[in-house]
Amino acid sequence: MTFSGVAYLIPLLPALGWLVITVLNRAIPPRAAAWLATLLMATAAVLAVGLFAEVRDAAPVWNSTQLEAQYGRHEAAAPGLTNPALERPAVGQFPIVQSHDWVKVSGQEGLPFGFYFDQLSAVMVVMVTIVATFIHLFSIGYMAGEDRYSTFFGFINLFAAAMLAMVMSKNLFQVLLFWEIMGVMSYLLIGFFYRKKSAQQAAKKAFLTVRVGDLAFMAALFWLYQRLGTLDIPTILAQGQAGLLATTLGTAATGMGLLFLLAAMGKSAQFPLHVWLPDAMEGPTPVSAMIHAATMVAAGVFLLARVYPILQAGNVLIVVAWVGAITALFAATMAPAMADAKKILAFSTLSQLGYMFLGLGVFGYGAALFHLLTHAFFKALLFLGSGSMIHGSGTQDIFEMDNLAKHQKWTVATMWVGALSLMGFPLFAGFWSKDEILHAAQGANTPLYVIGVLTAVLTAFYTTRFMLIAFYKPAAASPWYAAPWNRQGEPSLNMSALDVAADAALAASRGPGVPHDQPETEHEPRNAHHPHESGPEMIVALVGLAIGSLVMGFSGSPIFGNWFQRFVYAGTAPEVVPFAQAWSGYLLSLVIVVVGGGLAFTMYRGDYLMQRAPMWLTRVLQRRYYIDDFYYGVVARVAQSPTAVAGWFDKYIVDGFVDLIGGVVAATGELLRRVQTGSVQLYAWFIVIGAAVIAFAFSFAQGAAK
Amino acid sequence: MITALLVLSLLGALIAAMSTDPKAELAKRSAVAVSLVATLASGAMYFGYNTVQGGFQFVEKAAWLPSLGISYHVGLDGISLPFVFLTALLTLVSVLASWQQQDKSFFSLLLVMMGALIGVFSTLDLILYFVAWEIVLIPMFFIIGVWGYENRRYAAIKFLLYSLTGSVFMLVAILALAFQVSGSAGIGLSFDYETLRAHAGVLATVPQFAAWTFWGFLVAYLIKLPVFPLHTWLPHAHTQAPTAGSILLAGVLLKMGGYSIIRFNLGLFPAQMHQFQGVLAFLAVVGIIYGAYVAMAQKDLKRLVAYSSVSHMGFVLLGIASLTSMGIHGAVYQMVAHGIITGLMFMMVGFLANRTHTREISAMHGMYDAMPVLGGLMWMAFLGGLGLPGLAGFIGEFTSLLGAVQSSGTVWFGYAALIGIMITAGFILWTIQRVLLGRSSSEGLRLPDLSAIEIAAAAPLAALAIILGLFPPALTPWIDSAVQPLLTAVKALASR
Repeated sequence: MTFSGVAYLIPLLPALGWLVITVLNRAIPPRAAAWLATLLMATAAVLAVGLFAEVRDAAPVWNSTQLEAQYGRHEAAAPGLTNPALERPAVGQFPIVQSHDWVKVSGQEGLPFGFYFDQLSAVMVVMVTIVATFIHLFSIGYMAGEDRYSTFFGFINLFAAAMLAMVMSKNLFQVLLFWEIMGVMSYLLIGFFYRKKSAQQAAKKAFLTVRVGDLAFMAALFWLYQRLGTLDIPTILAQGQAGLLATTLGTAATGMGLLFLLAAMGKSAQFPLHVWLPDAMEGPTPVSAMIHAATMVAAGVFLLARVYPILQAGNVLIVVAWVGAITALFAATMAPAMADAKKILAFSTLSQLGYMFLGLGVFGYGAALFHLLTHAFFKALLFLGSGSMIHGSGTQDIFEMDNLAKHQKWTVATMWVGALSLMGFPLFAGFWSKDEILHAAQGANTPLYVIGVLTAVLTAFYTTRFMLIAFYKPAAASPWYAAPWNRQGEPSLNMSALDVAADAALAASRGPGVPHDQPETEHEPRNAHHPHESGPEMIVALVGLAIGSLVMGFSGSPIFGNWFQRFVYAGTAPEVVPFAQAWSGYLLSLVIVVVGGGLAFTMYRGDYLMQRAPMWLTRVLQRRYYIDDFYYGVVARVAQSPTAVAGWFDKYIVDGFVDLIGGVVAATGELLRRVQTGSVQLYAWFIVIGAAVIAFAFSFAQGAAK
Repeated sequence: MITALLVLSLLGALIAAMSTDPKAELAKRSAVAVSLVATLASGAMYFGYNTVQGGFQFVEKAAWLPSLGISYHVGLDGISLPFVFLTALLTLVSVLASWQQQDKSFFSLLLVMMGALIGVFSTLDLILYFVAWEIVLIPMFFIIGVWGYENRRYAAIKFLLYSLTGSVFMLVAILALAFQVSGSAGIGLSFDYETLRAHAGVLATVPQFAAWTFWGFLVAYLIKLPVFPLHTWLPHAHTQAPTAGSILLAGVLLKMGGYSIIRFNLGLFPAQMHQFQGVLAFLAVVGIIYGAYVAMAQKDLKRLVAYSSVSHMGFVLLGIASLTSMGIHGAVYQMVAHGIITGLMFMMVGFLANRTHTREISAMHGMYDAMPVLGGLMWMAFLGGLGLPGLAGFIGEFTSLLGAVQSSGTVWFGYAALIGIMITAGFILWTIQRVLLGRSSSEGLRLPDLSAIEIAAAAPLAALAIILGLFPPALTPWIDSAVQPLLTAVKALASR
């Protein structure tokens, strides 16, 4: 038995978990369902590690010292698998491909179904399964007491299965298929608290926003299939490595590349399609950790890495870099204005995903994927940690958290690991990977590099602020939840007056005294409990991820000769950026952390900055630059404006016309009935007139025929 | 085998009609038994069909009225077999879904309709086909008109008259075609599909005539499918029909149109199909986008689902109009998928309306909270309706559009149709939110969830939606075997 031979089990096991839990729902005890889901996920993780080991043994290995000598910066190269820069060529059948007929259409390739294991998919599979296992474990404790406890585990199991099947896909159509299944699971999980209006709105918003990208994805696939006659990933990669794509696709490569970029921007929540992600925090915290930090949002980055040769042939990479840089900075400016722990982390996720796009865009292929890996661990850790904080304190507002460090020893320790990693503090995982990206940007484009550094300073600033206020300050009334622009709450995506009517009906049905849309936290309100540490499953998950956040960074560090980057590079990237970092880069990272963190430290030692910051700035940031308002107020309205017209038109014009004909026929019948007078003379007249009409019609028809 | 199925349906209908017990127990039982046997038998034929060999199989042929060129000729190929199976299965689930119905004639009519539908899909003689086509109307007319909702008479008459209008055109076209072909080709008068198809080449000499005849067939099918602007009978019929009627209407009756376009318009008039490709694709895309917008405007849940069908059928027409094998695959796949998913949608909406005694969307909320099983299945069906991957509809939509962009005549229509997918996602999610989500009212919580028999009715559809969503090899080889021969004529035209 080889691990690649049974690799189909990796997505299949969690999918089975979903099936069992859904079908047997109430027949199995909730805790058993939870452990079943977790154990299946853990088994998948074991298989994934085995698969990874197999791929690692078979994959070609770059020779780091030769590499430096062989390639200058940004120098084009065609590193086929026989490249002299390889320390060791690929072993046996590599990459591993398994293919079956699926949608089979004679005369063309159709849409086969299969698995494809190269360095990228192997890394993704390991990352997803390990992070997901910890998140499952954490949820066992965190979700305790929810009324759809088993369902939750079914959903996250299926979600993980879809993500795994996606990264293993051999065909881009298959990527789309699982990409969208993931999308719908994300919709169901964001809306998990389906009784809450805000959760419903957030779920709908996420689905529709991401759908914009999905349509771009579909269009890209249509176009690609029409031009290449295949959506097969190995074929596309091989054509890319042989440098053929630029000629076979021509200028279409630019269009396709932009469409793929749009797809990735939807999924990875890049500006301007970022609006759904902060709202997605309406889902339970483990979902935020799993979907909206560690895995699903990384799918966009994964997609771009998969179609990298097309992006390159179409010269789209520079656009990718700018989208990433803008998002990184833009999101980092909003995070310091937030009070909700999960929202702060959500904006940091946007920002970090922006880094990954930036990395991809400046040829830092390995750096971007390295950051994807480390980010998955430390962001999952941060989210789960924030979950533990919410669980322990009963509030999501960092200002209301009461000296949590005293009550939650494990949480605070692991959170510091995550926070330092996010800030890029030396030796923590994020330090190595962020430095790689900045390094790549530095060589490529100075403005991009400056934006990257600025973002890093802001990151250190808001992360320190978050840690200080939540863990080391006594509870205080949140300074600006009462601000006038927040009092009316989120704007809701009312699609018409009907929504309002439905709300009114809902409120009426509940009777007086129960406001239907009270902001609710996930757990009981704070006064109902005393700050405490979380249960053992949750602590184990936090510690596991903390270890990951410490260790994973070394895989790509110069200490191990940038092993990670060399490993993934050998897969796809035709152009190479040297890996070895300069000491100046490390020094800069340290300076960034000290400046950003120190700034936050001085500002939040006493009272809070936002009370002193200009009101207009706070307002603009908390309103998220009014982009969401623009979408609700303008885009959604324009998009649905034809609705009323179409409804009216169909009822009164199209159907009205049909009824009119019906009416005329009926009236004619009535008239004809009256004509039946019994008068022979009248009938004779009719015959004459009729004959004349027929004769005329015939001659006319003959004339027309000639 | 096909004859046996037809006889069995009529026999079952007869037993049901003759039964005397007041609660129609015998009628129900015979309906379940007959439709179950029909499902199993058509399933056996489906898997017994040799997809490598292709062509018509299970053929039965006997002279009937030789002097008029009419024969008894039935047979099935890769595109009719799925619909025969779908007919039998949906009849079965319709019977199960109408378990409280205590009128024996209801079940008798369902079986008559099943027989007639199987006839439509299996007859290879145009007169016989026309007869079966017309017979389908009668039971459906009564099912809507007798057992429907408040406005049933208007809806039933509109359905009948609209369909008959199309039939008149089709009948004239059938007669004209048979006379023309037999005259030009110098053969005896024949209404046999295979004979006509073999000699259809003679139509090249009379392009005007061929175009008129082509449209004569097409009008009937465009009404049936339905295609904008000939669709307005559908929302009335769907809204007013009882649950079983809606399931069969959406599940099978609409498919008569799509199936017949492929069989007759494409099979007999490839040149005209090529000529009017752009017109059809245009109508299809208008239907997709317009249907979705009109659906969004609806206040009645059943009307909303009905208009979503108009939108979905646009993908069928677009796939056919592409005249590529991928596109026609998509069209057939989409029809089967729509039959299953929209059947499930109408079933759930019907169950819901029976409980809440209203179809007004604004009068419902928190239904998932109130009835998790009903709500969960409805949620799934609605997501299937928006083309969710993993469920059958996605493959249909994707492949029909993939086919559309492969053909230079329809490429832009293929991309434009993506707008419809976005709008569909919008109105479906909005509907889910309004009807299913939120906290249920206290009356809502007293509503009973699905009974065992209702779950039994829904389960096969839910399972098939997932199977066809993840395992297309269960359907594509059948389609492929039938589509390839149809397209050889088109390919010759395109290369000319």
